[in-house]
Amino acid sequence: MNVDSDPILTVHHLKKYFTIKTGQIGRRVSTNIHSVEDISFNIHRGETLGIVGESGCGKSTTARMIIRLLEPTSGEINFEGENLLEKSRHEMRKIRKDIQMVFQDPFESLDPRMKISAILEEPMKNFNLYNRKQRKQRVADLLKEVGLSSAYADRYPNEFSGGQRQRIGIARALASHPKLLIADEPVSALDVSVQSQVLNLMKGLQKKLDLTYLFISHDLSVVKHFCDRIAVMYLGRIVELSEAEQLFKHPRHPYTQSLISAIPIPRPNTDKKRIILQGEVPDPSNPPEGCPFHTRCPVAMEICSKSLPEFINKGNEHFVACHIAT
Amino acid sequence: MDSILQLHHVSVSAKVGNEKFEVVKDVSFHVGKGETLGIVGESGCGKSITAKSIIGLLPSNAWLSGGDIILNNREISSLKKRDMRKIQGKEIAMIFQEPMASLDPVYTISEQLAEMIKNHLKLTRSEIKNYSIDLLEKVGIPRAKEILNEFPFQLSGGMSQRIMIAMAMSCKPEILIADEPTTALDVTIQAQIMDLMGDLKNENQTSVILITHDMGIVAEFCQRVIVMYAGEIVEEATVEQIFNDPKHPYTQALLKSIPRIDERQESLPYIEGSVPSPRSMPKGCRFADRCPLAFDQCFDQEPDLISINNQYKVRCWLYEKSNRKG
Repeated sequence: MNVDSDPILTVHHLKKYFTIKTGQIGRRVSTNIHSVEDISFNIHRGETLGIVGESGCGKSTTARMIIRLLEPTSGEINFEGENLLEKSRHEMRKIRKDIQMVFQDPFESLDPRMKISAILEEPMKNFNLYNRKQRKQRVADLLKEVGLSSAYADRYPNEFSGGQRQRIGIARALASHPKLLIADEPVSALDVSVQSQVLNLMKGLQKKLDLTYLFISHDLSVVKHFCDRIAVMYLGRIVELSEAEQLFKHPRHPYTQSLISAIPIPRPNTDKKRIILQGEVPDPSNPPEGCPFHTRCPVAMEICSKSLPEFINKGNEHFVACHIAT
Repeated sequence: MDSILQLHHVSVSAKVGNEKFEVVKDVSFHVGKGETLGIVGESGCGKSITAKSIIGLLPSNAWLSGGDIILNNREISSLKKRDMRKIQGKEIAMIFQEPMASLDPVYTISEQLAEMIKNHLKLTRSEIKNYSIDLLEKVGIPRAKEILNEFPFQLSGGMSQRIMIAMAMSCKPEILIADEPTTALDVTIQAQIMDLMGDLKNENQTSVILITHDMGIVAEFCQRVIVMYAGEIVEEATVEQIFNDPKHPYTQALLKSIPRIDERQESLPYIEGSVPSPRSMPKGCRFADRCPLAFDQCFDQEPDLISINNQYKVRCWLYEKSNRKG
């Protein structure tokens, strides 16, 4: 991967705070949930960037902000050199032709009352692509592309299994010839044997159609297999970002280390030292001072509770935000 | 090893609308004292239903259509509801996949714990309270006294699962059935919970039936494994045997399709097609359609679960043939 090649997407200091009201009626207090706290990254053309992290770390919020399903609190998102946050709703609709999304739950993301043909034609109609006849042809092509029979066009979503539905979800995302595909946990609802079918399909499509992927997952083994570079998020921040192989061989951030060590390995009698983290992720409406991870970090020092570590390149494009990591 | 629980030819049927079909067919196995038995398989393979049939918690549209369940030399599947209730929680306890959904939202933690304890142990109110605090401390819940008066929504998923475990262990059951206990939790929390379950199990010599789809968890926590496919046991062996030398083509394929964090893989092998529906089970071997090694006999006739060298049990014509020759 040529790191200097011009990125298709750059994200600068992106933040998202949600305001919620808590407390008793009549004495409501507004609090801010710091869902995404100042993150920056870029994605190069043709690569797959993975974002991993546990629930509530802000990975899905980040994905939704890029496609502007959510409005960022502040920051900048540049897609092919254009600042998406300056675009009007109308302009944004056009840009969504190039950025499409695949969702986690294939059972909820397809309208049960629509035939597969209608589901796949909808984005084409939205973006004024093709005439009626061409759309029919495109539906057949898309189904073939994702490994389904074109005869399925006249069926309804409930006739399909989870894996098949996710293929349809992918076909829908591809309908408008996007350049960037954001996949939010696309295989977490699927069984392993089916999961690998869908992952292989996505890999094949990427090569064939020259796609760039932003792949969001909580499953490190899937991400390792699928991504070129990986960003690890914790409590709204990216704590480590590196080339995939390198990240797994030499994780530098204590959180990444414990995350990797926590994965059970399918081989009996593995002699593995497991770092079991104490406690749980702090409340994002009241994040700790200093390093967000210091409350659970097994190697935290005094400085960690006082100042926020900078996100530094430790060489080889391996970025880490930690006072201690070398 | 003394077995404390035995299932003999257990079948479970279910009725949906006017259709009746068998969801679990002819399942036999035993659990030894202090042993951890894993039941693995993909969604819909019947692993949860098998477990629920043991503790008498089958959904209202399903019933035991054959076989015996023997707990400590006593047949329990034909017991009346009232007698079964004395066993539920006391001799066999169960924890579920969704800890948030298994706790009643309108009762405090102390009320829910007390209900369980009151039913099985003769303790006064203040004894119950002290015992509850002990239990919560044992499962690693900080501020146990305060948490007792809180409601489930105030707790995180990991905490709720700890409470479920506290509840399940409160009467020191002989058998603990854990149905995907960590599937809804993040990996770092999963590591905490599995660690806790291991400690409690060793302390009380509890036998555990661990139902999971995660081969990594099986490798680390189980001694013996049952692999289920489409409502039947297809293979039974020790953990070492399953991972080092799996016999059934399904087990082999399942193990290969897992993305590995400890190995580098280019493309993931996968199993073609999907699990047959219980409404239309194939005539021969239930895996034949997806099996790369299937031959004519596999499509005509269903193989029996046969034992090889008294170590493995496998349901596959490949071994039946070689066995006969030998």
